[in-house]
Amino acid sequence: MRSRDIEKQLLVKQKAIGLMVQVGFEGFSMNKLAKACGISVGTLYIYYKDKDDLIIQIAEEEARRMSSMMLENFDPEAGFAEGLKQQWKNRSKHMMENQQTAHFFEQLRSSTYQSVIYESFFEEFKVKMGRFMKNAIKRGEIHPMPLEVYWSVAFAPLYNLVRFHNEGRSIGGASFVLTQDMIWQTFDLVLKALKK
Amino acid sequence: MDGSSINPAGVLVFKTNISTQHDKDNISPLLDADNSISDWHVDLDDCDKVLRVVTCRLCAMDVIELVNRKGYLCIELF
Repeated sequence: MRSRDIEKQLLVKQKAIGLMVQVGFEGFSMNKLAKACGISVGTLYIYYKDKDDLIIQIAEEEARRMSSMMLENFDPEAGFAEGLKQQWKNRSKHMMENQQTAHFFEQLRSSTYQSVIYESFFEEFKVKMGRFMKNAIKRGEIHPMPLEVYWSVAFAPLYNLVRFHNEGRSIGGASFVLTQDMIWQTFDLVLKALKK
Repeated sequence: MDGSSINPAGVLVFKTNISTQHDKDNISPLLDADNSISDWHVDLDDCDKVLRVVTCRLCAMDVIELVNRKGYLCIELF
């Protein structure tokens, strides 16, 4: 495909995510997207068969992109503290720099598209995360626990801080900006909670 | 690849009045039977009832003629 088409497709993808976040999947249509991109509906249909096809294709691409960003410099064989720290770095960076995508995945999670995304595209990610946790248990660094319990302690605190940050508000509507100091202060507490 | 082509992927797109599943069933034997068409799809949710045809050999007029043969409206979208 020529570079002009790739650029156009990238624009379509960015606008589509923005529009879906703004109006939801129900309010989203191919016509609205074409207008937002300043292209004809015909051009849009060259890339996608219909709204479903568009949502699934974009979700797949973003899931792949997100998964590779989250695994950057991450070694599932690394020691627990080091590996978890790299995860926090990757996740906080990704979620703060790609707010629209993060929001888009929140929407997908609570929609009928959920199964399409989560069954196939995070496979490598899930395998590596699972191995990392099992390694830590095997080495006696953390107690054995269900994956869900591990995840809720290991990552949910970070996700909540980033959510406050992205919304610009914390508890009771007070304005909020997340700093690196706060991230690593929370990380130390999480590490303390998980480590034997 | 032909550099002058506006459609490098061999995709043709049309506005139609193929409005219901019944209309779609009506047109499908014709499009399915054509060996020059590798894939086709009608978006019944869209107001333009967009027909999308993937073909390396047919031109827009050929597709319009096929669809018209079943009595449906078919206008190329650019």
